[in-house]
Amino acid sequence: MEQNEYESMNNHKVVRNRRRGSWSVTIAILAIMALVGVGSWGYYQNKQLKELKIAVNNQYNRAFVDMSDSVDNVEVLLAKSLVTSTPVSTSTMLQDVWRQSNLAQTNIGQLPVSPPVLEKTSNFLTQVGDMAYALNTKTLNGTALSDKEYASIKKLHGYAVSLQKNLHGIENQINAGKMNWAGKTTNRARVLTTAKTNDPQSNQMENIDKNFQEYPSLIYDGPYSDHMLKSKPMGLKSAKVTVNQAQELVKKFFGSDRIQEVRKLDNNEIGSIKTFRFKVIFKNSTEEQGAEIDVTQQGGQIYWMLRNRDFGKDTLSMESAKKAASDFLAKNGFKNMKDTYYQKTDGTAVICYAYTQDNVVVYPDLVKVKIALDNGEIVGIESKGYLHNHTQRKIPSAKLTMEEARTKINKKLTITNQGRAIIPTEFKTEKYCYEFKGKSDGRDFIIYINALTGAEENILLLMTTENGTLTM
Amino acid sequence: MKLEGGTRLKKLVKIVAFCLIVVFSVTFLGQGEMYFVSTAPSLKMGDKGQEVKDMQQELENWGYYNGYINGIFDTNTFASLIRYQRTYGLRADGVADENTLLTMGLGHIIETGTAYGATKKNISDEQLLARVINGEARGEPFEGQVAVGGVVLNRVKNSKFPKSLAGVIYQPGAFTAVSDGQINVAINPKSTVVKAARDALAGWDPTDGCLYYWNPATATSKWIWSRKVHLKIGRHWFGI
Repeated sequence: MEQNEYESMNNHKVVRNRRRGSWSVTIAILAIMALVGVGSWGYYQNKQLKELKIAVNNQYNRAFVDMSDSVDNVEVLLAKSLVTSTPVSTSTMLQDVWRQSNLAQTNIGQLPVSPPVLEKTSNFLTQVGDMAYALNTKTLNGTALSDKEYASIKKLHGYAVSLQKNLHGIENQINAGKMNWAGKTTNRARVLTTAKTNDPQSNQMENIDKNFQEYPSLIYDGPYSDHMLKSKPMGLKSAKVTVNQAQELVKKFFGSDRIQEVRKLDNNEIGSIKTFRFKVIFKNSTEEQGAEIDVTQQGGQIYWMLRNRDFGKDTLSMESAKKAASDFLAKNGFKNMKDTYYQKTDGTAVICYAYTQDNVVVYPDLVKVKIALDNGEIVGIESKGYLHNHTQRKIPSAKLTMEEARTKINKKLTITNQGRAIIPTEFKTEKYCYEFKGKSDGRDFIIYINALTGAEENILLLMTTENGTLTM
Repeated sequence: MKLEGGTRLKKLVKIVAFCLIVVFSVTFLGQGEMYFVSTAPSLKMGDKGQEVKDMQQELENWGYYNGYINGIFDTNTFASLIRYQRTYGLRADGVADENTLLTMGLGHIIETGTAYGATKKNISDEQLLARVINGEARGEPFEGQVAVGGVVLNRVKNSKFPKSLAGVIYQPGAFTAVSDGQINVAINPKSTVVKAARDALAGWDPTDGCLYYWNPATATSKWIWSRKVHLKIGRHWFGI
């Protein structure tokens, strides 16, 4: 009995203990489930937040870089409007100033920056826009600007230069990965989005027109590059070549003693110029440091070629580089080419060549040669412009002399050089012009005066650095 | 038995606490901010370069300087800097130190130091394009990298896409490397992708006008297969 009693008591205890045990297991399971639930919820929330942050940050970066680009354009356009020769061409520049400053304003409004920070910038852009608009209505009617008005353009141009500098500083931080819009200003961003009542469609409307970004680029490239892709290429020779002939041309082009292998790639059969494509691997070199070259199926001409390798120390002067590139062009069927502008970077130079006919520089017929400055090897060629446009031109007789054209130019410009040129227009036509290079306020410009009508056709601003010259 | 239950509970509490800490730290990870280190250079007489040019421009804008903006810190610049410093109650020693530069709004000289000293606009474009190429085509052959740059630039010129480089690159959903933030990785100015970006900007376009590219092994969009394949470089297919 006693034994029994003891056993039942013991049993009771075990049951109680078991019961307690099962309770704590249930609690543990519930707690772990809850934790897993909360954990994964937190994880997905965090992941979503990160994705959202990146998306928001990207849009802020976009707005910022676009604004900065517009300010750059405002600066260049103001500089150009100071040297325009006729009220009409001043008017063209000022219209663009007005448009670009509006664009910059639109993008400023999308940045997560509280008003006081960019108040002055905003104010400046509004003033530039207003002034350009006001002066434009004046010049549109053919009235030239007064000295006082020129002075105010100059003043605003000075501000544009310093604003541009500040924006480039921020851009460098974006490039260096140091700028994070979304992390810093989440609260303000929220305020901003609720306060923003802009009709998105009207913003897009502003985008519709010729809102074309102007890259600083080697002369007669970039803004005009559409022109190069005429539907019917004119610079191709008549004979068709076979793949084998093309392969032989490639070997001749590089020199067969340097080549280890020429590998045929898929043809380029779409587009107005069809090509055979080859990958060339050089002796004592790796596959990564090989070259790709395209040869036109009609004419067997070099369409483009590019090789990347490690470049050693510069040993070639620009003069001997130009000579080597000219010789190379002459040897490969590009006759009468004149070097125009070049750009030097990291052991290579890209030199632009234009065709000349009777001392007239024909800019649409453009070939770019990339040369290694360590040993003079040609590491790139790009001849789309030439192959699309090249033909023997009929140069019309000029209606006014060089001297007459020269008198039309704004007196603020000191002319240093003059010549004759055929330039492409945005409307896929060509114009015969007198070309004047000049200086004003320490800046270099090129002015084109139409040799038939005397109109000012174009103004280019040259950016000269130790590494070459770019046009804007 | 009782004791055992107690330790189990304690263990449980510990596990819970640990998990909570992990959850919280994961949640708050990546909330830290970056600060740049100031290298605080100063400009003094005899200095040359873009920074001096910037300062002369500021001095001219504010009416303290009317010489040439030529980037040479000469006596004329020195005198106008002292006039400026006097007016603003700064130490008038003719040396543009951190304080002086900050009041002129030339903070970028301090913040970026000399590493990015003389930057030009085209370097910015180059960097932006290089970062996209880096994110999209790091392991590709060189002409494949130039080709990706070419596609971006072809889009800028095409009426169906935004009209600016930044507009095309940051267009939502256009490039995976932009959507997942890889584009924000800073890159070495000497790396291959920068060379590729430069060649693309100089006009080399291996794709001959293509507007799209995709990797057939990883492409998820069905729509992309309706594009006509123009050419293949490395792992990427290019089309219009």
